[in-house]
Amino acid sequence: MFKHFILISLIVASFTIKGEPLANRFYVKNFLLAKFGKHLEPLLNETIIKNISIFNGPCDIYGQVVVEEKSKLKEVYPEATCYSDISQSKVDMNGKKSTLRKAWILKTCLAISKNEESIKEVNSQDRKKYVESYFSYKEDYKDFIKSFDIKNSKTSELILKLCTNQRWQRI
Amino acid sequence: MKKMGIGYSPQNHRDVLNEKCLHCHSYLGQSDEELISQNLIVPNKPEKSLVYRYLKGSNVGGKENMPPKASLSNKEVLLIKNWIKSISPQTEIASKPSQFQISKTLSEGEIYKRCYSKLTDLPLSAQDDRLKEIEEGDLSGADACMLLIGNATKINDSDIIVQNELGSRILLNFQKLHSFWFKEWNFFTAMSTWGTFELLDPTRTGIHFSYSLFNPQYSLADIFSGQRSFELTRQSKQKSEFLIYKFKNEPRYKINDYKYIYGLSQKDGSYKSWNPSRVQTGKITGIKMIAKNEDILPIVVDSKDNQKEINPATEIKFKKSIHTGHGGGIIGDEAYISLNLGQDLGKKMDGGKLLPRRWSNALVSEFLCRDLPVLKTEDVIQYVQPNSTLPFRKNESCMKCHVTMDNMAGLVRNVQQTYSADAGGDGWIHSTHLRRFEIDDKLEFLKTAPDKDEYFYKRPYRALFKYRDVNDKLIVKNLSSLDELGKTILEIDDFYYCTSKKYLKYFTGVDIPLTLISKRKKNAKERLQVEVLKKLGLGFKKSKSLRSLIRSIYETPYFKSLNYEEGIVLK
Amino acid sequence: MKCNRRDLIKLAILSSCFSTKSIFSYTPNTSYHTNLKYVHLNIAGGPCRWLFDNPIAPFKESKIDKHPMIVNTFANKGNEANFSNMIYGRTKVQDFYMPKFWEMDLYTSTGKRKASELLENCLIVRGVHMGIDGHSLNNRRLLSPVPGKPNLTGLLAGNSNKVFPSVNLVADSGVAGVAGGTFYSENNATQVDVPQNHDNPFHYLLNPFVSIKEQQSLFANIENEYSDLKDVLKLDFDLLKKRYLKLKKIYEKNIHESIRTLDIEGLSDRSIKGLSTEKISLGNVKKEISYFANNDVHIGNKDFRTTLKTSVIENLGNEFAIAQILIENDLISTLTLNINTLTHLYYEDSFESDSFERVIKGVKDTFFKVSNLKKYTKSIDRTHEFQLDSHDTGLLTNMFLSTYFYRGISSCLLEMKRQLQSSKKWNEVIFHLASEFDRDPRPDGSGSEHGWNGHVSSFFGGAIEGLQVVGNVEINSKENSYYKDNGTWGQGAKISDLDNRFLVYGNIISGLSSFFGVNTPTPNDNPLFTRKAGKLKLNTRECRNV
Repeated sequence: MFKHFILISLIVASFTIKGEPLANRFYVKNFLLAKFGKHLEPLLNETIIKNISIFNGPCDIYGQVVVEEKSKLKEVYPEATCYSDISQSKVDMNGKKSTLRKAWILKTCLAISKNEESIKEVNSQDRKKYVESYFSYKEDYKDFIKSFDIKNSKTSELILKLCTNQRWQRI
Repeated sequence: MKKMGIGYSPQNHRDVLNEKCLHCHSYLGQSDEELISQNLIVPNKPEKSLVYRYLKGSNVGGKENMPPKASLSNKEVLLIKNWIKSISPQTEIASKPSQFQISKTLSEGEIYKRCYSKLTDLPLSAQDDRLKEIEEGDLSGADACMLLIGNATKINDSDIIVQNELGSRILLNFQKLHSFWFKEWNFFTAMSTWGTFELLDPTRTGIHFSYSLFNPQYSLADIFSGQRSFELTRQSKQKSEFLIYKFKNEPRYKINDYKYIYGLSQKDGSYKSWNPSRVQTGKITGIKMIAKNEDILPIVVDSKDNQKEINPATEIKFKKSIHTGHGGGIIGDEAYISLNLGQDLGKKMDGGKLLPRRWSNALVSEFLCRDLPVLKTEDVIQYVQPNSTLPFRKNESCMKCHVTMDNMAGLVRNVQQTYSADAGGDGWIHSTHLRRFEIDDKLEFLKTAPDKDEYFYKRPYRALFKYRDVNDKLIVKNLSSLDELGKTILEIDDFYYCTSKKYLKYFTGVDIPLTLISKRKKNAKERLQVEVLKKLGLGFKKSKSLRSLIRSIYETPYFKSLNYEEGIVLK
Repeated sequence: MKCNRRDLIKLAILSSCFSTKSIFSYTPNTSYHTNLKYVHLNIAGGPCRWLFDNPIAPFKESKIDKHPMIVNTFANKGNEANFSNMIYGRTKVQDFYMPKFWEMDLYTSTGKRKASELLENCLIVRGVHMGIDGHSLNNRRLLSPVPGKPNLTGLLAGNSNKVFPSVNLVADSGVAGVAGGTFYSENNATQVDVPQNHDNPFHYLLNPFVSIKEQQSLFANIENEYSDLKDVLKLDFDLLKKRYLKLKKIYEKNIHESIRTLDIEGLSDRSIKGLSTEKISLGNVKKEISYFANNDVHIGNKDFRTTLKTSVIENLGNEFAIAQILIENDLISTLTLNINTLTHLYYEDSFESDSFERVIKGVKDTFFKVSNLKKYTKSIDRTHEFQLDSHDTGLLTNMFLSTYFYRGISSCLLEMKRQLQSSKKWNEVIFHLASEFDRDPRPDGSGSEHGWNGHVSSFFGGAIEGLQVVGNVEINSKENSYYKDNGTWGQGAKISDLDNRFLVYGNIISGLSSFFGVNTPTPNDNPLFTRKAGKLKLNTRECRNV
């Protein structure tokens, strides 16, 4: 029936949930905005903020302010929005590992790595200093530069490598 | 679970359990340790072990009705008895403090970065002034974190007001965290009273903790006493046009199209209207205590319009604020009881089937982080009523939950679910509220729990609060009010461990079940977890300060480790 | 005491697992069956089930106390329905007498098939006490029986290694008031809510994977960190999409034919005179006028059957197509599929329902009067819907439209069954059809109230052998129902195998938990069934009218 019909039992190992808490959607968005440019807000609202069940971070029921503009509904504070329902005000504060989270991060990072403004933003800074300030913790920075040639890589590759790095997601 | 079937000839207790018990009670396949920790067997004491007491032929005054459709031979009973007798009661060896190493420790500046990001959802700028102070050695990371909280808000005449955008973020995050501790959010009961969300905030239980955190003068004792209620103050650049529950899908309901109604419909089909204040919407600007006489609802009703045939609604004078708590502070918060009442509209508690058990269950789970039962068989045997018409009253194992649960629930016996009006719909908003009956002092106290008492809801009552904490200490108290229950909760170690555990989980991802404290054999990782939790909990019990507790969490090895618990190397 | 290796392993697993602490605790997740899938088919509103899967007289000798509203057949011969000759017809399916519904044909991709084929692997549980009234309260309990504790789909998803541990296909009922919105996993597993009326719901689910796959060449140097996506990315998404679109067409066609074809013997095989053919004067009117009520409209249509002329069940075909793809490709562990009602009904010459006042003098003492006859003028749209919460859904409307509503759903289920049998997945899935409760019919036939102590759950799946029906019902309804002495509609009666207790929803949850190998969130309620040698095995077979 299908060409490829694969069981994904290998993923079991990455699903053992104990351990470090991951950043929720608010931090993920704010982090990426800070590192790759504020112009990414619409993209991040779509790929990160709206995925409440994947990234966690509860919505704020009464933070929702909804008005009608040109016969369309506008949510004045998108980060407060309970996209499915107000039951999402009870999702966990901390993020968690999952295949879906990885996929959405990867998708987002692929888009950022091709974004001209983000590339400009990164290019406008001293590369070494930029990468050093990217990580909150020195250890993460040290591990990163061991595995990636920041000096000679293309900016888009650097962005992708930084963005998809799992470490910054662990606050 | 393998049954031996034909040719069955049991040689040990496992054979008997497999053949006669596991089919319905698969948990009996667990290890001895687990059965002990669940109070199903008492080492060396078959006569006190629930599993043995239930067996036919055990002859120790137990129920003796298992297995229901088969018999047990003397040999089988003896095998079970000897097994339990052979388990030696082990006392826990006092252990040395855990030996561990943090593989990668955060610097003071990094500690501050971590808590900053956690509390604000923002990465910390390398140019941050406080970071410089830390790097210069003038401030520790943990102290910087506490300054962040301390400077987030100011207090103005008992109102908490955020100082800036950062303060708003910090307050919002803590409020979300505190709200997350309380699972129920849906006011809907027999009717989908979406109007309630316009008047009551289902997350407001958590506000009691937020208020205390940002106003340290408001102590733990204050959280658990009185009838105060709080609201979050908010502001918005634009005014919300739609009702909070009714804007997602068509038809969308606009605020200006709706009136708040009360009572029964008049002859012409209309209703009386009132003008309560709606829950504020927008960005958080602070916390305010709700005034005692805010939003007085004149009348409530005790049934709904589509029950006209069998139970016509009557109008009941209410004339009270819809926000006032029922005593005990947070545990008697209008929203908390309403969300957890679990009783039908108009029902009066009868002390038997009708009791707000869901509320008392929620209380034990959410404030003490325990699951019922917490009592042992010996604690409850005297309350078993063999002649009761209620099956659970006749049963020791059921009473292990009910003794704790029902006694607490009795303290909320005088509460009844009502509606502001018997119907809502096009153009009308009705909502759900709790009515409180006055206690009739002329009625007698009851000495035993009734099967069904038609006056229970207004009878004077003294709860026998019986609870075993996680250290197995039995707490027995006579309580007659929610304030007294609140005070008692503050005397139980479990509350302090529970609150510590919840903050610890948020800040470090480490989730330590309280039952680990009483686990007999712990591995190295568990020993460290228990040490950390105990230190936090007992420290919190001493300081009674949420801020102190949070500060202590920044000092834990988990928080200081780059990779949290995964970065702890145990020796 | 020696602790052997087996105990140590159990202890190690137990210390990291959610465990309940009561006498009815279950052995934990070591027995979780990774390839089993649970699909919850949720109908919010609590429509009546006596026409469909609630056999109120399951045996030849079953005693019932007839209720005038519990009818499903025009028994007269001829081309016109005779309202004074309506009966509750039954048909024998294996060992049970099921409602006549099961005699009819359903439309599938391989032509017409007998509805009873769906009962070849079916368990029906009737007479379940929910204990308390309330739509939202009870619908949420269907998956989350104990507020604040992990719910069933959360427990199943928590042990899942699938790409989508849990998916919720949202419908008109929204998320909040219903079961799908109660998802809570202590292991922090994910549930994805697929919004209804999304332009491309299939794409919505697979969005990130599809877009990543298209750019796979760009992330060669981060492959190690994202190696666990490799397997998912090997799926042929184009092929999946084509199959989804094909399946969607099949299901939509089945639904369309099933709900529009007037070929049901004893029901739609003859004309049914509508209300407009009656002479209605002001003042008191006969109660039979209320038979035509459908909430805010009294249906006038000259031939009542024409109400179905423009009807649809929105989104259902789409949902079943997505469900099949997810099941066949082992992409889910649990799925909640929320079902919309029949909408876009065709009305002509109809009246506003508030033209007709139902006057209540006392219990079972009502009459109807008309003071101002108002024509119904709203044009056809989705608000012309069959009201599932059928308080004011009259006898005829209920009988006719319920039957077609369930016919639409059954045609999808039967198609799904046949498709999954073909892909050898039928044994791996349990479909659970549920609503809050059944209905307690009004004595005057003008509608029905909530029957909160007569919930019905039906299960379909290859692990169920044959048709099994369990649960006792009262011949004449008792206290703890809306109406006492209201005949046999399905109010639950006590079960002697359960120590003379009522069957409660927790028994079903415990059964499902046991079947799937997870800890039950209702440890105080014995499991109604368990899993033995891969098959569902009932722990009681009581099925009596008492």
